Amino acid sequence: MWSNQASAEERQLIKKAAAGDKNAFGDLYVAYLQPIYRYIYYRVGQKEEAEDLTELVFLKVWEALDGYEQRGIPFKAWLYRIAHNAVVDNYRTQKDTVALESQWSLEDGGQGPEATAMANEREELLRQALLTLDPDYQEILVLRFVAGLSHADVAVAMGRSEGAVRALQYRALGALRDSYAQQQQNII
Amino acid sequence: MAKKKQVEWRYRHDSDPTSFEQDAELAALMQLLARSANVQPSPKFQKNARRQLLEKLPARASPEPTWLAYLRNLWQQGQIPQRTALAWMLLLLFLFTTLFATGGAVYASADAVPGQALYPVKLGVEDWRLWLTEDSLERAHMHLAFADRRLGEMEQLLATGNAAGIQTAADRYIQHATQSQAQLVPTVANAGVLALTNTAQQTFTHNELALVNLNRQAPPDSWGSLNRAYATTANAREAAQSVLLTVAANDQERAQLRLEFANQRLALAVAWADSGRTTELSQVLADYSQQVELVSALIWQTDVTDTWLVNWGALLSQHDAVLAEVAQRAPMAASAAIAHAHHVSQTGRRVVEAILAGEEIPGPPVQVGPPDDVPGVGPPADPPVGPPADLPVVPPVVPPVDPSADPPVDPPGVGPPPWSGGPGGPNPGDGQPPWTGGPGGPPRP
Repeated sequence: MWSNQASAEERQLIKKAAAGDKNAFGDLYVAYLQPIYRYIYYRVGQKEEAEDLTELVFLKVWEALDGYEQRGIPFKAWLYRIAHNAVVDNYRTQKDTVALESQWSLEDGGQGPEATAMANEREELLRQALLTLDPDYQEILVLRFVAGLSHADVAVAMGRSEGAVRALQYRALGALRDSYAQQQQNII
Repeated sequence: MAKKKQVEWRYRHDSDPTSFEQDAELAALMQLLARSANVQPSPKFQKNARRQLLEKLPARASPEPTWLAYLRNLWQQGQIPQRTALAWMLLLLFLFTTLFATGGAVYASADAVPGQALYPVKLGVEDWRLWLTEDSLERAHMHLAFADRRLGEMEQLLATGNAAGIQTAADRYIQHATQSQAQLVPTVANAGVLALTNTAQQTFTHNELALVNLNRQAPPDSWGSLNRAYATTANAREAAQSVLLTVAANDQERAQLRLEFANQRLALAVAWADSGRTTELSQVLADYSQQVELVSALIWQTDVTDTWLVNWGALLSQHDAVLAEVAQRAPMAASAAIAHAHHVSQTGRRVVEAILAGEEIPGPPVQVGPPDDVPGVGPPADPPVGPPADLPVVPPVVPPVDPSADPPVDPPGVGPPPWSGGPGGPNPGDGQPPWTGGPGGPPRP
């Protein structure tokens, strides 16, 4: 996982890619493929759609990279901003939002059957709780805790002030707590 | 009031002291999702991802020649020794002086259009100016200005029916528009970006109008280029609007912005009605309706002054009159979209009347979208901060309808391909007076 601050190697890749070096851009793609896919997957809930959108995000990044200025905005935050826009555009084109619970599938992660079952159950509960939240709440929780972005980077990605992001996260966690408790009750 | 209850609930919920520990547990749980082995791209996708992406990457159009980019790169990396740099600068200065002093070619090229001998000189000078500009925001402003030039060239070329020239200018226009759009990042603290975004929103809105008019008059072999230019413009305008909504301080400002956007969409609808283009007209009216619905939702959630409400109601009345004009001019196929816009406008007026009368409203008329306007996706409204500000009074602006406008020009069966982007708008040059300075639209930069 890349750190929030771009490394010298990453800065070099960005510079090369901005100058039109496709191989350098391919390296950036490989580095960020998993986190961006994960972010998109938790927003759209479908594997194939998440894969398509991930590729689309990087095509947009390629188009816009020429205008990207490294000073001021961290690359990672800028990347998530583009991913955020892609997800929003996707919502626009597919107004019939998919029932996410029907899309998420749990698999054996290589642990024993019992441990896997328990972990999966907890994950499933959390996912179900997450998907009942307002999209802005979902977004901030995924960006902060799944993507691991700082408040400042989330502010850039979501286009809000840092203070608003902190307040939003606080409310989102509260909503998630209520929803998670509700999911647990449903099981009992 | 239901609104007050909602706010009270939120504060009570937030101040619950027992929630902190549970939230920490939840945060830890959320981080489990980050490590979940269940969320991975498929092995097939991962295996081919890089190759497939690289195959799809287009060659990026650079606004500056490759060798200029190379020199810039060397300069930025400090690989050009100072003495060499000085020599280069002196040489360039000499070349420039010679160029200006001898031929006046640069001056003469200012009015050149594609196909003329001096046009490459004009573009070269622009490229130089861009290259010499270090500040990215200033470069973005220059891209906007140059995009405007390309638009002017397209209008000039239209008179001669030079489709190849229009395509050349349109391609350059798209480059400039794309480059300026790339700088539209919602950085709240950056006043420069905000100023750029405001200018960009105004410019692109105007350009949409101009492109609609161009498309109406252009020969069929230019439609493809103009469509692409229009799509780029619409996307850039939407991006600028999205940034403005995002960085708006509160819902009151958002309502004001959406009011302006609604006016702009309605003006656009008039142009499309005159063009007889059902698809585009319906799209513009849908956008208009969405903006009006969102204003209604915002004013329901946020305390605005009675003066503001009265003006908004009056504006909606004016909109009704314009929509009636649109209905007279538009093709029959657009009647459903027009009727919906009418309905939304009238509903908006009823909301205003209900709020002014202090009536209890059971719920917001529509869910308020997030700054990026995700339909059906409502963001949590931030708690109101401070007393409600008195929003500026907005004079109603009615997009004028030109009774002598040309009839639809699409020849039967050979209509131009539909716009692939957002809506367009009326052109100040087609008999309709330009924006009047109110919320209806921007002056041409």
